[in-house]
Amino acid sequence: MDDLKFVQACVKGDKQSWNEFLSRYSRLIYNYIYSVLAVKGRSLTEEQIEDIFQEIFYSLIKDNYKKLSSYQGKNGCSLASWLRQVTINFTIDYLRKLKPMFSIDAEIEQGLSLKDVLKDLSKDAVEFLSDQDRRKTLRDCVDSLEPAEQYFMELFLNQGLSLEQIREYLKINRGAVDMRKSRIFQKLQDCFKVKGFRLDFLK
Amino acid sequence: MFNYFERIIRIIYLEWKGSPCFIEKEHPNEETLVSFLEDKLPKLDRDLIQEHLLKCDICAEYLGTQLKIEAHLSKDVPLVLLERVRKMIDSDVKDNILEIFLMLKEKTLEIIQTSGDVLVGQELIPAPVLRSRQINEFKEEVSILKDLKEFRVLVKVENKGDKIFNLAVTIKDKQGRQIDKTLRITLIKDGIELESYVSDTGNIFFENILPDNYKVEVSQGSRILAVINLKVKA
Repeated sequence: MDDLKFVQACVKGDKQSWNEFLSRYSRLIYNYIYSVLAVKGRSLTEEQIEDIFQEIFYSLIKDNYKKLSSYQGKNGCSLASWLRQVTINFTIDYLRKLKPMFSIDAEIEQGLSLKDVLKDLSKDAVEFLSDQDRRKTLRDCVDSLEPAEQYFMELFLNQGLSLEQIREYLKINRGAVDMRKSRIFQKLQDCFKVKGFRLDFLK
Repeated sequence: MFNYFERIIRIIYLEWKGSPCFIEKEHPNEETLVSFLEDKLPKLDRDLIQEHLLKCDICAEYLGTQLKIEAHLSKDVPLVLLERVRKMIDSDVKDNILEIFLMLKEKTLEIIQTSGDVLVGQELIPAPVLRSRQINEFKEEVSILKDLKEFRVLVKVENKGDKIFNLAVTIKDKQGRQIDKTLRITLIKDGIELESYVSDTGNIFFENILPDNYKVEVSQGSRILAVINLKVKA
C-alpha cells in the first residue's frame, strides 16, 4: 500500500492501519524530538518530551484528522519525510512557547543583546555599527545580492549551518561551497566599498 | 564560530532580514518544505519558497534545524507512553464511527448491535437500554442517531421486503439544523464505491440494497468526516 492510501485508511479510522502507523512511525517521531533538542542544545524533562510526543499525535488526529489529511504525497514526499518535518516544526514551536523568540534589537543570539555582541568588537567597529544610516546603506548591499546568495547567507549566518552541512544539503563539493561563500562576501565588501565604506580596517 | 568580518555581516544581514513574519496562512506546509529541501519543487515554486524563507525566521528555522539533524533512532518509545497514545487514537476513532448491525426479517427489522441511539416514538434510546427493555424488533423501518465529532448523523433503514432495504442518511449539526457544508456520501462494499452523491442539504437515499457488509463514508473534499459501518443480514 502506498503512503497516501495508508494515510487515507488511517483517516477513515481503520484500527489496523493505526496499529501499523504506531509500529512504523512512533520510534521515528520520538527520536526526532530528541534530535531537535540536541540541535537546539536544549534539555527537557522526560514528562515534557512525552507531552510533545503525545501532542504531535493529537495534532495529527484532531479536527477529524485535518493535519494528517493534509498529507498528499505530492512531489514524491514520503510519509516518513513528512512526519520528520511535522515533528521538527512541532518541537521547535513547543520550545518557542517555553521561551519567547528573540528580537534582533533585544537579543540577537542565545540571549546575547546587540550590545553584548558589539562588546567583543573593536571600538572602531562599535562606532561603525552604531550609525543607523550607515547600517541602512549596508543593508542595501545585502538586498542587491541574488536570492540564491541571500539564501546561502541565511543558512550560514542565521541558521548557523556549517559549510560542511551546506555542502551536504546543496550536494556540491566542498571547494564549490567555499568558493560560493567567498564570492558572496567579496561582493558585499565591494558593494560597501562603492558606497564609501571599508570593513577591512575593523579589526 | 564566525570570524570578525562574518560577525559584522551577520548583524547587517539580520537587520536586512527584519522582523519575523507571523502570518500563518502564508507559511508553506510541511510537505512543501520537504519538497523544497529535497529539490523536488518546480522552479517557480522553489523560488517562491526561497523568497519566503528569506523573510520568515520561523520557516527558515524549521528547515535549518532539519539540515543540522544527525538522525539516529536509538531510543525506544516507553511502552506506557505508546499505550497512552494508542488509547487516545482508539477513543478518537470511535467518535467518528457509527456501527450498525441489523437483521432483515420478512416484515420487520431486528437490531443486533449499534453504537448509536435508536429512535423509539419520540425517544432516543441507547442500544443496551433497548435490550434491557427487550425492544429489538421494529416494523418496516428503524432510525438510528449518533452525535459524531463534527455533526449529527441519522440513519434510516427501511425493509422493502424480498430481502431488500433502502437506506437514508441525514447529516445535521448537533442542534439539528441543516449543516452548512457540501458533503459527499458514498456507499462502499468490499472497498468498491457502489454509489456516491454530493448533497448540500445533507440528505441522501440509497435504494434497493441487498443484505451485506457496507461502509458509508461522509466526506468533504479529500477529508473523510465520518464512517458508518453497516452490517445487514437476512
